[in-house]
Amino acid sequence: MVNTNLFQTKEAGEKAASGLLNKNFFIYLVPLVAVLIVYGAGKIWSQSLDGQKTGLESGIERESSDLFNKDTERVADFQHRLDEIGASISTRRNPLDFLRWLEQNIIAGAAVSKLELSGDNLKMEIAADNYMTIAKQILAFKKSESSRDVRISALSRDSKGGVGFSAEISLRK
Amino acid sequence: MKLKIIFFPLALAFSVYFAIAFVWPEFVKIQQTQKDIAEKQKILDSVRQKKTNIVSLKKMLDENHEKAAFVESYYPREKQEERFVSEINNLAASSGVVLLDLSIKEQPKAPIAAVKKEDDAQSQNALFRKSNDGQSLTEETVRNPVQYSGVKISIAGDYDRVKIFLEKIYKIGLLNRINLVSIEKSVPKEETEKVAANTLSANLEVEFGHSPVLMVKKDATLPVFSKTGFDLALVEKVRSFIEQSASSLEVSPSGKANPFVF
Repeated sequence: MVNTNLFQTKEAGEKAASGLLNKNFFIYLVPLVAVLIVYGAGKIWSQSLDGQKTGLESGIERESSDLFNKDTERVADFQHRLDEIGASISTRRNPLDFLRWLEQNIIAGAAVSKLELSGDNLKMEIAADNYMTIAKQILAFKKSESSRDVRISALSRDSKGGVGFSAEISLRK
Repeated sequence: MKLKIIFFPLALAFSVYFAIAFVWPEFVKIQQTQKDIAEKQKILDSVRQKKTNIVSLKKMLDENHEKAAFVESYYPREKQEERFVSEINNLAASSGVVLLDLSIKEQPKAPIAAVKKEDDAQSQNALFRKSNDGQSLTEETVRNPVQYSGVKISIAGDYDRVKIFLEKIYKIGLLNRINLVSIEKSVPKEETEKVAANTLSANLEVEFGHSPVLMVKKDATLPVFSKTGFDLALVEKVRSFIEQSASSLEVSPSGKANPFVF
């Protein structure tokens, strides 16, 4: 029992501890240090990008404020007028189209006594000498390729012995 | 040895925690900022392009001042009653019809429409179609819609002359729309009054358009700014259209020259 070395365990512990600090400690820290380096680099990059973004924003603001002046207004106004004129020209309908259609489709023995053009619609009062002419006239209107939705109403005989009717017709463009 | 066993996993766990809690969000932020930068750069390029376009559009207007003046005359900035009266009177005289009456309808003042950018997608106005350049502009664009002034015209004349007048009104050098044309045989009001057998009386309701200068607030999304030139062919088209004389009065062999007579 006298020869028992009581310091042997302590020495081995110190050796192990100093080994940990000297050699392996830094190896164990490598992942942590790497993560910290990546984080730091990311932060610097992010700040640089933020600066770039702010620069672009102020550039947009500056360029946009220069963009709006009298010339811009003149250009926009001219285009607006061109657009409206173009739209008007392409959508308008010549009233003569209706009259030409009527000239082609009114038959002998019948005549228009009144007509009203509005949009694509043509309202007419037609007079004729007899019922047969009226029947032929109605058929002529219905057979026309340009007409659609032919509505006939107010078929009557007048005091002078003539007959008449009202027609409402939509014409195709 | 026990410390060694504990320290390594601890260091690794901390590294993983740090990477997830701090490094990853930072990289997400960087990715987002890069996207923002690319978008901002696109906007900046687009604004610069628009500035260049505006310069070339303005130059084009200066070089084609005659066409620009024609457009402003066809679709004027102000209501031009004096032109309505003089031009309609001239057209009636040159068509050979009698101008019985001419009246200008009072139009209630159209309010200026303030359009928020968010509403532009639904707008029918070609000028205000939203462009897709991604620029977010919070300010409003003020547009001036076409304001129409109504004119009522009463004329009398034979069928051929009424037709000529109608065609001339259709081709008048002012933005217009013919809302109503009513033609009927003239009937003498009194027994003593004599009216030619083929005389017709016609009533027209025509509207002439005008619009004040377009007011543009900060709005870089107008499609015109993305163009490098105007379509001036349209101006030529309109000009030749209104300068065209009334077409010859031809009647199809199957029809009648005057549908108002038996």
